[in-house]
Amino acid sequence: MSAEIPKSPGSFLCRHDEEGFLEALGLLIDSGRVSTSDALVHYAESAGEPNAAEYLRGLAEEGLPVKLIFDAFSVHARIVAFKRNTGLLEQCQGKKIGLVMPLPPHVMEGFLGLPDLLVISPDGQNLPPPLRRRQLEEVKGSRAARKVISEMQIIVFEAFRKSGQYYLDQSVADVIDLRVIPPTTLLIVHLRPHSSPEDQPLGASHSICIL
Amino acid sequence: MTGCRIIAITVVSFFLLLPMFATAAALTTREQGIAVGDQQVETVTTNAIFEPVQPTRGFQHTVAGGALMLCILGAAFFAMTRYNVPLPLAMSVVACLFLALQFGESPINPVKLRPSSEAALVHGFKHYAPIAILFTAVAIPAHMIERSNGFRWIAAFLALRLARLRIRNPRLTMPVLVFMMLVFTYVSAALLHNVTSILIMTPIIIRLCDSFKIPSRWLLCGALIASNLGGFSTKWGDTPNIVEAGVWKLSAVDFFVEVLPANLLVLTVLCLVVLRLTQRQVARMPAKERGSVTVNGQTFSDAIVAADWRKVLRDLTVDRYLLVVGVGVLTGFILLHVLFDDQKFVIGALAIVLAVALERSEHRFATLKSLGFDVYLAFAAIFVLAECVGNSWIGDELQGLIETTKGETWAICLTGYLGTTFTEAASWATLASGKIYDSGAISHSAAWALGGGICAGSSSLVTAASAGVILAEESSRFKEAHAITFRSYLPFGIGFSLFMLVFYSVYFSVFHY
Repeated sequence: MSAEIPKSPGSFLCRHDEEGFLEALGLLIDSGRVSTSDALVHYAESAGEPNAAEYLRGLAEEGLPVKLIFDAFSVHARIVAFKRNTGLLEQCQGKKIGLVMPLPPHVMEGFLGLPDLLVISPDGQNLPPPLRRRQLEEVKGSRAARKVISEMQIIVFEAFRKSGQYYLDQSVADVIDLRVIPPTTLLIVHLRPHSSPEDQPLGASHSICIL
Repeated sequence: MTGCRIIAITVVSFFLLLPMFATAAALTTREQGIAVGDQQVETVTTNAIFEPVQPTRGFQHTVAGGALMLCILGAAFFAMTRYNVPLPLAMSVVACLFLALQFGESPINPVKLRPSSEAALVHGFKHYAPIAILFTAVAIPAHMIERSNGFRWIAAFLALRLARLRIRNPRLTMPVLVFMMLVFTYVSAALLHNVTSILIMTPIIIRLCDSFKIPSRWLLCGALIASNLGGFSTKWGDTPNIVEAGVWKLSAVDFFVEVLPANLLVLTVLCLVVLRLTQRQVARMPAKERGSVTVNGQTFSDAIVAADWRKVLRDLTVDRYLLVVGVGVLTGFILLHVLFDDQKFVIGALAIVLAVALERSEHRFATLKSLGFDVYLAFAAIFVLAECVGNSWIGDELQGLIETTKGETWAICLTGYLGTTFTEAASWATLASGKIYDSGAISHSAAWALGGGICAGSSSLVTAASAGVILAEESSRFKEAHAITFRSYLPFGIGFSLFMLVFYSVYFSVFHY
């Protein structure tokens, strides 16, 4: 087990994102590796998720079947995640938001309705094809992006997380310059599952939320 | 740095002084013999309307000249391996040095001479031009598919399936991963080009091995050979094929019927060898580093790996327009190339125009430059280099060896192997094809033997072909455990390439085309 990771504000899980954790548990149930409610609780504990284990144990004590326990837990975890993400979007209202590419379209969709939104495309990055026809205010190029990044109150970008440390793609790291970003700026991170060889560590003292 | 400058000044001084001694050193016993032969030819043709001209043979045709050229070439490979000197830079410098060593004159036609250096340059670019068109026609749509994320989507899809399989049946993970990756590398090299294939597959293999905690060393080494095999299986798959197809007038169907079965056999052996070596390496690893899947915690990690790949698939945006254009142009080029072989340059040119025209306007120029200036530079240098080597003591010796062995399959295969190991695949193919064909070995088997020898030679050292150099560069970007170096590849490369050499020698002797 690696070092304990401080969980993101509003998160139900400590070490995993909700979607990945639920997908993993679902796969274990489908493959027959988990056939009893005790095994499900044991997996949650061994994965370093005490909140999830506690919640699952409560359901298991009611004598529910495994699939039903998983469904109930899944709904609960998704509701918590939804509330957290909605809370984040509410925080974004009326603030200057910078979306730093690359970001998946489904992540961007949540922010596109907000009024003061700027899409920042560093060198070598472009808008995803489904969003290219949208009327979006876009800053292209790392040089231009660095000029506007300090004005943003909320910055959304993609990162890889390992042992509590965040790593950014080289092109994103060129723009997320913590020397010019005020400490009050909220950083919102969309976690990508795999690292990249050119990843740069992000040594931020800013508050970071995970989407 | 001072050392480099001293070496550079010494080399330049050497070349400035060399012409003074070149003419005197030119006529060794062997050359004198050739000169006598030429005089006889002259006597016979004195009745002709035009008196044939006599080419003069310079320093490069002496043993010292040949040895110097081999030393320069060896130094370039050493510099590429030891000091990470880029291939285009090393090859360009070698080509320029070889050009500077071209003394004497070569005939343009029976009655006119021109300086050997000029002849090498002209002939080199004559061979380079068709490659430039055909490569560009494949590279542009291939890069469009790459930019569309099409390859990444396929890789993530396969990885997700493999991750799910690992949860259900952990023992199958490694065999499936090895066979899947090597076959994928082989097919992509056959359809696109071996360099493009290795460029795409290296990061995919490393990520998959990282995910499943399987050591990548043997799989990456195997991928290089699979890409060489794939390249050798189609007419457009590798530079030597294009050169040989031009000399022996080979069609795409000839490659499918006569070479593909042999390569599929080698690929099967390769998969088994890579699987065995990887299994051995896993068995030697400490238990905690292994991807053991029997403990509950490990099973959960495997499920997380599957969930991660699911997330990759969901987050990945495939540019469908670019994918359709890329696949369409590539398929069209390959099909038309197979059907109308004589018009390959027209088809290639039209494929380039179509791909660029269908590209989004802001990316058109970048798309046209898909292959990159470095690649064009490296290829131009390699072809000039090959011509220079051909017009030297090395070329004379090669010609002598081919004539002595009377074009035996094993001898052609062996010369292809050794030539490629100590020079480079494309340059050796350019140099040897014409000489072998001119010596009377006009059967397809001769072409396949040369191709087989070159394919084996390309697989012997990581520096023996462009794909190997790219594999070394790409893998070094990742963490140290994945880096394929000259040394880490050497035992696998030499061992398997010798098997390939023996296999191709026997196969093309038994199945005579």
